Amino acid sequence: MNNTQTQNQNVAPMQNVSPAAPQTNNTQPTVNPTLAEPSKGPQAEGFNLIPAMSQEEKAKIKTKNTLNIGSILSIIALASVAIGIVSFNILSKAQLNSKKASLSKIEKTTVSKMDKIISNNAIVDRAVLYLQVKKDSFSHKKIIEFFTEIASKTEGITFRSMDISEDLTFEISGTGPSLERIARLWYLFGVHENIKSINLQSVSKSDTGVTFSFEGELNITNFINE
Amino acid sequence: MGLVTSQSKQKREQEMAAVSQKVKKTKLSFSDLVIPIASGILFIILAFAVFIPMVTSAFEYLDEIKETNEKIDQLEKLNKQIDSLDDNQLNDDVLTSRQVIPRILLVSNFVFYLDELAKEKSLEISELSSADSINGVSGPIGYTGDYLNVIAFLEDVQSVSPYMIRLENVEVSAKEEGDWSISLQVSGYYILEADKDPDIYAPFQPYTEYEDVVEIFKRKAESID
Repeated sequence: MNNTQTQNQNVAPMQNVSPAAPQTNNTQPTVNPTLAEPSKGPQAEGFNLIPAMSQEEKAKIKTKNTLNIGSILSIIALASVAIGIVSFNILSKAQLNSKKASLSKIEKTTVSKMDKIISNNAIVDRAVLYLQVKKDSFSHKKIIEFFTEIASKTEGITFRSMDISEDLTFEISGTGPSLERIARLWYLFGVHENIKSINLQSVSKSDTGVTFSFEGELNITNFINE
Repeated sequence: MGLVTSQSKQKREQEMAAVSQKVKKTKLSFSDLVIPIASGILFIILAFAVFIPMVTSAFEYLDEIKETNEKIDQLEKLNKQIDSLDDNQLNDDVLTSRQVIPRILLVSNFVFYLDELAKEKSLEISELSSADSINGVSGPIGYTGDYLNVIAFLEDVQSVSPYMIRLENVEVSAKEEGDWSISLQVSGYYILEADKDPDIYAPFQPYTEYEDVVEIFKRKAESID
Protein backbone atom coordinates (compact mmCIF):
# COMPACT_ATOMS: atom_id res chain seq x y z
CA MET A 1 0.00 0.00 0.00
CA ASN A 2 2.85 2.30 0.91
CA ASN A 3 4.66 1.56 -2.29
CA THR A 4 1.67 2.45 -4.22
CA GLN A 5 1.29 5.64 -2.31
CA THR A 6 4.92 6.53 -2.85
CA GLN A 7 4.58 5.96 -6.49
CA ASN A 8 1.56 8.10 -6.46
CA GLN A 9 3.53 10.94 -4.99
CA ASN A 10 6.15 11.00 -7.72
CA VAL A 11 4.24 9.94 -10.73
CA ALA A 12 1.62 12.01 -12.28
CA PRO A 13 -1.61 10.32 -11.60
CA MET A 14 -3.79 9.26 -14.44
CA GLN A 15 -6.76 11.48 -14.70
CA ASN A 16 -9.96 9.64 -15.16
CA VAL A 17 -11.86 11.73 -17.52
CA SER A 18 -15.40 10.89 -18.19
CA PRO A 19 -16.36 10.69 -21.86
CA ALA A 20 -19.31 12.73 -20.96
CA ALA A 21 -17.18 15.57 -19.77
CA PRO A 22 -17.21 18.49 -22.07
CA GLN A 23 -14.05 19.17 -24.02
CA THR A 24 -13.22 22.84 -23.91
CA ASN A 25 -10.49 22.78 -26.57
CA ASN A 26 -7.84 20.58 -28.23
CA THR A 27 -5.01 21.58 -26.00
CA GLN A 28 -3.81 19.54 -23.02
CA PRO A 29 -6.30 19.19 -20.27
CA THR A 30 -5.98 21.76 -17.49
CA VAL A 31 -4.66 20.42 -14.19
CA ASN A 32 -5.69 21.71 -10.83
CA PRO A 33 -2.75 22.98 -8.77
CA THR A 34 -1.68 21.01 -5.67
CA LEU A 35 -1.74 22.50 -2.19
CA ALA A 36 2.08 22.36 -1.91
CA GLU A 37 3.04 24.14 -5.04
CA PRO A 38 0.24 25.62 -6.90
CA SER A 39 1.11 25.52 -10.49
CA LYS A 40 0.54 28.60 -12.45
CA GLY A 41 0.93 27.00 -15.77
CA PRO A 42 0.71 23.62 -17.37
CA GLN A 43 3.42 21.09 -16.36
CA ALA A 44 4.66 18.49 -18.69
CA GLU A 45 6.34 16.02 -16.26
CA GLY A 46 4.00 15.67 -13.26
CA PHE A 47 2.60 17.13 -10.13
CA ASN A 48 3.98 17.63 -6.58
CA LEU A 49 1.36 16.23 -4.37
CA ILE A 50 3.23 16.98 -1.09
CA PRO A 51 1.35 19.63 0.69
CA ALA A 52 3.01 22.74 2.01
CA MET A 53 4.19 22.31 5.62
CA SER A 54 1.82 23.52 8.22
CA GLN A 55 3.02 25.57 11.27
CA GLU A 56 2.86 22.46 13.45
CA GLU A 57 5.10 20.52 11.07
CA LYS A 58 7.59 23.37 10.98
CA ALA A 59 7.74 23.41 14.79
CA LYS A 60 8.42 19.67 14.87
CA ILE A 61 11.31 19.98 12.42
CA LYS A 62 12.71 22.82 14.49
CA THR A 63 12.56 20.65 17.59
CA LYS A 64 14.48 17.91 15.84
CA ASN A 65 17.15 20.39 14.71
CA THR A 66 17.45 21.63 18.30
CA LEU A 67 18.01 18.11 19.52
CA ASN A 68 20.84 17.66 17.05
CA ILE A 69 22.46 20.85 18.28
CA GLY A 70 22.07 19.47 21.83
CA SER A 71 24.08 16.40 20.82
CA ILE A 72 26.81 18.56 19.41
CA LEU A 73 26.84 20.72 22.48
CA SER A 74 27.09 17.66 24.75
CA ILE A 75 30.13 16.47 22.79
CA ILE A 76 31.67 19.94 22.95
CA ALA A 77 31.03 20.09 26.71
CA LEU A 78 32.62 16.66 27.20
CA ALA A 79 35.64 17.69 25.16
CA SER A 80 35.94 21.00 27.02
CA VAL A 81 35.83 19.33 30.43
CA ALA A 82 38.39 16.76 29.30
CA ILE A 83 40.72 19.42 27.91
CA GLY A 84 40.29 21.57 31.04
CA ILE A 85 41.08 18.76 33.47
CA VAL A 86 44.03 17.44 31.48
CA SER A 87 45.42 20.97 31.08
CA PHE A 88 45.04 21.64 34.81
CA ASN A 89 46.85 18.42 35.61
CA ILE A 90 49.65 19.04 33.13
CA LEU A 91 50.15 22.64 34.23
CA SER A 92 50.21 21.65 37.91
CA LYS A 93 52.75 18.92 37.23
CA ALA A 94 54.90 21.28 35.15
CA GLN A 95 54.80 23.92 37.88
CA LEU A 96 55.73 21.32 40.51
CA ASN A 97 58.67 20.12 38.44
CA SER A 98 59.86 23.68 38.03
CA LYS A 99 59.64 24.32 41.79
CA LYS A 100 61.43 21.07 42.56
CA ALA A 101 64.23 22.03 40.23
CA SER A 102 64.57 25.36 42.06
CA LEU A 103 64.53 23.60 45.43
CA SER A 104 67.18 21.14 44.29
CA LYS A 105 69.38 24.04 43.22
CA ILE A 106 69.00 25.79 46.58
CA GLU A 107 69.60 22.51 48.43
CA LYS A 108 72.91 22.09 46.61
CA THR A 109 73.91 25.62 47.59
CA THR A 110 72.99 24.94 51.21
CA VAL A 111 74.80 21.60 51.34
CA SER A 112 77.93 23.33 50.07
CA LYS A 113 77.82 25.41 53.29
CA MET A 114 77.47 22.35 55.53
CA ASP A 115 80.77 23.02 57.33
CA LYS A 116 79.49 26.35 58.54
CA ILE A 117 76.23 24.77 59.70
CA ILE A 118 78.11 22.07 61.63
CA SER A 119 80.39 24.66 63.28
CA ASN A 120 77.45 26.89 64.16
CA ASN A 121 75.48 23.98 65.64
CA ALA A 122 78.53 22.90 67.65
CA ILE A 123 78.68 26.32 69.31
CA VAL A 124 74.91 26.52 69.84
CA ASP A 125 74.79 23.03 71.43
CA ARG A 126 77.57 24.03 73.84
CA ALA A 127 75.95 27.34 74.68
CA VAL A 128 72.64 25.63 75.40
CA LEU A 129 74.32 23.00 77.60
CA TYR A 130 76.24 25.72 79.41
CA LEU A 131 73.06 27.67 80.13
CA GLN A 132 71.28 24.51 81.33
CA VAL A 133 74.07 23.60 83.71
CA LYS A 134 74.55 27.15 84.93
CA LYS A 135 70.84 27.91 85.23
CA ASP A 136 70.43 26.65 88.79
CA SER A 137 74.04 26.74 89.81
CA PHE A 138 75.10 28.77 92.78
CA SER A 139 78.34 29.80 94.46
CA HIS A 140 79.26 27.47 97.32
CA LYS A 141 81.92 29.95 98.36
CA LYS A 142 79.34 32.72 98.82
CA ILE A 143 77.16 30.44 100.96
CA ILE A 144 80.03 29.39 103.22
CA GLU A 145 81.06 33.02 103.57
CA PHE A 146 77.45 33.92 104.47
CA PHE A 147 77.35 31.28 107.22
CA THR A 148 80.68 32.51 108.56
CA GLU A 149 79.50 36.13 108.52
CA ILE A 150 76.36 35.33 110.53
CA ALA A 151 78.38 33.28 113.00
CA SER A 152 80.80 36.18 113.46
CA LYS A 153 77.92 38.33 114.73
CA THR A 154 77.52 35.96 117.66
CA GLU A 155 80.58 35.57 119.86
CA GLY A 156 82.01 32.12 120.47
CA ILE A 157 80.23 30.30 117.63
CA THR A 158 82.41 27.88 115.69
CA PHE A 159 81.21 25.76 112.79
CA ARG A 160 82.47 22.23 112.58
CA SER A 161 80.81 21.24 109.31
CA MET A 162 78.75 22.72 106.53
CA ASP A 163 76.88 20.48 104.13
CA ILE A 164 75.30 22.11 101.06
CA SER A 165 73.16 20.11 98.65
CA GLU A 166 72.19 20.84 95.06
CA ASP A 167 68.59 21.56 96.06
CA LEU A 168 69.91 24.36 98.33
CA THR A 169 69.16 22.50 101.54
CA PHE A 170 71.93 22.76 104.09
CA GLU A 171 73.03 21.32 107.33
CA ILE A 172 75.46 23.08 109.61
CA SER A 173 76.84 21.96 112.93
CA GLY A 174 79.16 23.56 115.45
CA THR A 175 79.77 24.61 119.01
CA GLY A 176 78.89 27.64 121.09
CA PRO A 177 79.52 28.96 124.58
CA SER A 178 75.89 28.90 125.79
CA LEU A 179 72.33 28.15 124.85
CA GLU A 180 71.60 31.87 124.61
CA ARG A 181 74.24 32.26 121.92
CA ILE A 182 72.80 29.35 119.99
CA ALA A 183 69.33 30.86 120.30
CA ARG A 184 70.67 34.19 118.98
CA LEU A 185 72.32 32.42 116.04
CA TRP A 186 69.06 30.64 115.32
CA TYR A 187 67.23 33.97 115.38
CA LEU A 188 69.76 35.65 113.07
CA PHE A 189 69.42 32.85 110.55
CA GLY A 190 65.64 32.89 110.86
CA VAL A 191 65.19 36.57 110.06
CA HIS A 192 67.73 36.74 107.22
CA GLU A 193 66.43 37.07 103.68
CA ASN A 194 68.92 34.46 102.40
CA ILE A 195 67.29 31.75 104.48
CA LYS A 196 63.97 30.28 103.40
CA SER A 197 63.57 28.04 106.43
CA ILE A 198 65.71 26.84 109.34
CA ASN A 199 65.23 24.29 112.08
CA LEU A 200 67.32 23.52 115.09
CA GLN A 201 67.89 19.86 114.51
CA SER A 202 69.80 19.13 117.74
CA VAL A 203 71.38 20.91 120.64
CA SER A 204 73.21 19.57 123.67
CA LYS A 205 74.91 21.22 126.55
CA SER A 206 77.98 19.88 128.31
CA ASP A 207 80.72 21.19 130.61
CA THR A 208 82.81 22.35 127.69
CA GLY A 209 79.97 24.17 125.92
CA VAL A 210 76.97 23.66 123.68
CA THR A 211 76.91 21.69 120.40
CA PHE A 212 74.23 22.34 117.84
CA SER A 213 73.12 21.43 114.35
CA PHE A 214 70.77 23.34 112.08
CA GLU A 215 69.09 22.27 108.91
CA GLY A 216 67.25 24.48 106.49
CA GLU A 217 66.86 25.78 102.98
CA LEU A 218 68.60 28.70 101.32
CA ASN A 219 67.18 31.35 99.04
CA ILE A 220 69.15 31.17 95.78
CA THR A 221 68.65 34.84 94.84
CA ASN A 222 71.82 36.15 96.41
CA PHE A 223 73.98 33.11 95.63
CA ILE A 224 73.53 32.81 91.88
CA ASN A 225 76.74 32.13 90.02
CA GLU A 226 77.57 35.00 87.70
CA MET B 1 -20.26 16.59 -10.25
CA GLY B 2 -19.78 13.02 -8.98
CA LEU B 3 -16.49 12.74 -10.87
CA VAL B 4 -15.16 15.85 -9.28
CA THR B 5 -16.06 14.56 -5.84
CA SER B 6 -14.31 11.22 -6.28
CA GLN B 7 -11.23 12.88 -7.74
CA SER B 8 -10.93 15.39 -4.98
CA LYS B 9 -11.49 12.69 -2.38
CA GLN B 10 -8.73 10.55 -3.87
CA LYS B 11 -6.44 13.57 -4.02
CA ARG B 12 -7.14 14.39 -0.43
CA GLU B 13 -6.36 10.87 0.62
CA GLN B 14 -3.06 10.96 -1.21
CA GLU B 15 -2.18 14.28 0.31
CA MET B 16 -3.04 13.00 3.77
CA ALA B 17 -0.80 9.94 3.23
CA ALA B 18 2.06 12.20 2.20
CA VAL B 19 1.56 14.44 5.19
CA SER B 20 1.42 11.54 7.63
CA GLN B 21 4.69 10.15 6.21
CA LYS B 22 6.34 13.54 6.57
CA VAL B 23 5.16 13.80 10.16
CA LYS B 24 6.51 10.32 10.81
CA LYS B 25 9.91 11.43 9.52
CA THR B 26 10.05 14.51 11.75
CA LYS B 27 9.19 12.58 14.97
CA LEU B 28 11.90 12.31 17.67
CA SER B 29 13.36 8.84 17.30
CA PHE B 30 15.81 6.82 19.41
CA SER B 31 18.62 7.52 16.94
CA ASP B 32 18.35 11.20 17.81
CA LEU B 33 19.18 10.46 21.47
CA VAL B 34 22.09 8.11 20.81
CA ILE B 35 24.77 10.82 20.77
CA PRO B 36 23.72 12.67 23.94
CA ILE B 37 23.27 9.42 25.85
CA ALA B 38 26.61 8.07 24.58
CA SER B 39 28.26 11.35 25.53
CA GLY B 40 26.81 11.13 29.02
CA ILE B 41 27.91 7.56 29.53
CA LEU B 42 31.37 8.33 28.17
CA PHE B 43 31.58 11.32 30.50
CA ILE B 44 30.71 9.19 33.52
CA ILE B 45 33.24 6.51 32.56
CA LEU B 46 35.94 9.10 31.90
CA ALA B 47 35.08 10.89 35.12
CA PHE B 48 35.75 7.80 37.23
CA ALA B 49 38.60 6.43 35.16
CA VAL B 50 40.47 9.61 34.24
CA PHE B 51 39.05 12.90 35.44
CA ILE B 52 38.73 12.21 39.17
CA PRO B 53 42.25 10.66 39.47
CA MET B 54 43.68 13.51 37.40
CA VAL B 55 42.00 16.20 39.46
CA THR B 56 43.04 14.45 42.68
CA SER B 57 46.64 14.21 41.55
CA ALA B 58 46.52 17.83 40.38
CA PHE B 59 45.46 18.92 43.87
CA GLU B 60 48.25 16.77 45.32
CA TYR B 61 50.66 18.58 43.03
CA LEU B 62 49.34 21.88 44.33
CA ASP B 63 49.94 20.74 47.91
CA GLU B 64 53.45 19.64 46.96
CA ILE B 65 54.04 23.02 45.31
CA LYS B 66 52.99 24.70 48.55
CA GLU B 67 55.36 22.50 50.57
CA THR B 68 58.16 23.07 48.08
CA ASN B 69 57.64 26.82 48.28
CA GLU B 70 57.87 26.66 52.06
CA LYS B 71 61.09 24.64 51.81
CA ILE B 72 62.52 27.11 49.32
CA ASP B 73 61.69 29.99 51.66
CA GLN B 74 63.22 28.13 54.60
CA LEU B 75 66.43 27.35 52.73
CA GLU B 76 66.71 30.90 51.39
CA LYS B 77 66.39 32.19 54.95
CA LEU B 78 68.95 29.62 56.13
CA ASN B 79 71.38 30.64 53.40
CA LYS B 80 71.02 34.28 54.37
CA GLN B 81 71.70 33.43 58.02
CA ILE B 82 74.73 31.33 57.11
CA ASP B 83 76.08 34.05 54.83
CA SER B 84 75.77 36.55 57.66
CA LEU B 85 78.27 34.53 59.74
CA ASP B 86 81.88 35.50 59.29
CA ASP B 87 83.93 32.45 58.29
CA ASN B 88 87.07 33.31 60.24
CA GLN B 89 85.20 34.37 63.36
CA LEU B 90 83.10 31.21 63.23
CA ASN B 91 86.20 29.00 62.99
CA ASP B 92 87.82 30.76 65.95
CA ASP B 93 84.66 30.55 68.05
CA VAL B 94 84.06 26.88 67.36
CA LEU B 95 87.64 26.06 68.38
CA THR B 96 87.18 28.04 71.58
CA SER B 97 83.87 26.36 72.38
CA ARG B 98 85.34 22.93 71.80
CA GLN B 99 88.12 23.73 74.23
CA VAL B 100 85.66 24.54 77.03
CA ILE B 101 83.22 21.75 76.27
CA PRO B 102 85.28 19.25 74.29
CA ARG B 103 84.01 16.58 71.95
CA ILE B 104 85.33 14.05 74.41
CA LEU B 105 86.58 14.61 77.92
CA LEU B 106 89.05 12.00 79.01
CA VAL B 107 88.77 10.99 82.62
CA SER B 108 92.55 11.17 82.92
CA ASN B 109 92.63 14.79 81.66
CA PHE B 110 89.84 15.85 83.96
CA VAL B 111 91.31 14.20 87.05
CA PHE B 112 94.74 15.60 86.20
CA TYR B 113 93.30 19.11 85.93
CA LEU B 114 91.50 18.89 89.32
CA ASP B 115 94.55 17.48 91.05
CA GLU B 116 96.80 20.20 89.63
CA LEU B 117 94.37 22.86 90.84
CA ALA B 118 94.32 21.34 94.35
CA LYS B 119 98.11 21.22 94.44
CA GLU B 120 98.23 24.93 93.53
CA LYS B 121 96.15 25.59 96.67
CA SER B 122 98.39 23.34 98.78
CA LEU B 123 95.58 20.89 99.42
CA GLU B 124 96.20 17.25 100.14
CA ILE B 125 94.16 14.59 98.44
CA SER B 126 91.92 12.40 100.55
CA GLU B 127 89.64 10.97 97.87
CA LEU B 128 89.65 11.15 94.08
CA SER B 129 87.79 9.00 91.61
CA SER B 130 86.07 9.70 88.32
CA ALA B 131 84.14 7.76 85.72
CA ASP B 132 82.35 8.36 82.46
CA SER B 133 78.70 9.24 82.67
CA ILE B 134 76.22 10.53 80.09
CA ASN B 135 77.98 13.35 78.24
CA GLY B 136 80.27 13.86 81.17
CA VAL B 137 82.85 12.65 83.64
CA SER B 138 81.91 12.66 87.28
CA GLY B 139 83.01 11.33 90.63
CA PRO B 140 83.64 12.23 94.27
CA ILE B 141 86.73 14.15 95.29
CA GLY B 142 88.08 15.09 98.71
CA TYR B 143 90.92 17.34 99.87
CA THR B 144 92.22 18.71 103.13
CA GLY B 145 93.99 21.94 103.84
CA ASP B 146 93.77 25.46 105.16
CA TYR B 147 90.24 26.94 105.36
CA LEU B 148 91.04 29.81 102.97
CA ASN B 149 92.64 27.45 100.47
CA VAL B 150 89.66 25.13 100.61
CA ILE B 151 87.32 28.03 99.84
CA ALA B 152 89.62 29.28 97.05
CA PHE B 153 89.67 25.78 95.55
CA LEU B 154 85.87 25.75 95.52
CA GLU B 155 85.81 29.10 93.76
CA ASP B 156 88.39 28.18 91.14
CA VAL B 157 86.81 24.85 90.29
CA GLN B 158 83.49 26.53 89.74
CA SER B 159 84.39 29.84 88.12
CA VAL B 160 87.91 29.82 86.77
CA SER B 161 87.98 26.29 85.43
CA PRO B 162 88.49 26.04 81.69
CA TYR B 163 86.07 23.13 81.61
CA MET B 164 82.41 23.35 82.30
CA ILE B 165 82.14 21.85 85.75
CA ARG B 166 79.24 21.31 88.11
CA LEU B 167 79.65 20.82 91.84
CA GLU B 168 77.17 18.84 93.92
CA ASN B 169 76.81 17.93 97.58
CA VAL B 170 79.61 20.06 98.91
CA GLU B 171 80.60 19.31 102.48
CA VAL B 172 83.15 21.38 104.31
CA SER B 173 84.16 20.27 107.79
CA ALA B 174 86.77 21.19 110.32
CA LYS B 175 89.41 18.63 111.24
CA GLU B 176 90.79 18.28 114.72
CA GLU B 177 94.26 19.56 113.88
CA GLY B 178 92.88 22.88 112.55
CA ASP B 179 92.71 21.97 108.91
CA TRP B 180 89.51 21.76 106.93
CA SER B 181 88.39 19.01 104.64
CA ILE B 182 86.22 19.33 101.59
CA SER B 183 84.37 16.56 99.82
CA LEU B 184 82.12 17.00 96.84
CA GLN B 185 80.73 15.38 93.73
CA VAL B 186 82.21 16.99 90.61
CA SER B 187 81.06 16.61 87.00
CA GLY B 188 82.77 17.80 83.83
CA TYR B 189 80.84 17.94 80.58
CA TYR B 190 81.59 17.18 76.96
CA ILE B 191 79.46 16.90 73.83
CA LEU B 192 79.65 13.98 71.48
CA GLU B 193 79.23 15.26 67.94
CA ALA B 194 77.38 13.15 65.40
CA ASP B 195 79.36 11.94 62.41
CA LYS B 196 76.56 12.45 59.94
CA ASP B 197 75.66 15.84 58.54
CA PRO B 198 72.78 17.70 60.18
CA ASP B 199 69.42 17.97 58.48
CA ILE B 200 69.30 21.18 56.48
CA TYR B 201 65.59 21.49 57.20
CA ALA B 202 66.09 21.33 60.97
CA PRO B 203 65.48 24.62 62.79
CA PHE B 204 68.59 26.78 62.55
CA GLN B 205 69.71 29.16 65.26
CA PRO B 206 72.73 31.35 64.56
CA TYR B 207 75.30 31.15 67.35
CA THR B 208 75.49 34.94 67.42
CA GLU B 209 72.37 34.80 69.61
CA TYR B 210 74.60 33.34 72.35
CA GLU B 211 77.38 35.90 72.11
CA ASP B 212 77.51 36.37 75.89
CA VAL B 213 78.09 32.64 76.39
CA VAL B 214 80.72 32.63 73.65
CA GLU B 215 82.51 35.43 75.51
CA ILE B 216 82.51 33.27 78.67
CA PHE B 217 83.95 30.40 76.62
CA LYS B 218 86.68 32.72 75.36
CA ARG B 219 87.66 33.72 78.88
CA LYS B 220 87.70 30.09 79.98
CA ALA B 221 89.72 29.02 76.95
CA GLU B 222 92.29 31.73 77.65
CA SER B 223 92.87 30.22 81.08
CA ILE B 224 93.67 26.88 79.43
CA ASP B 225 96.33 28.50 77.25
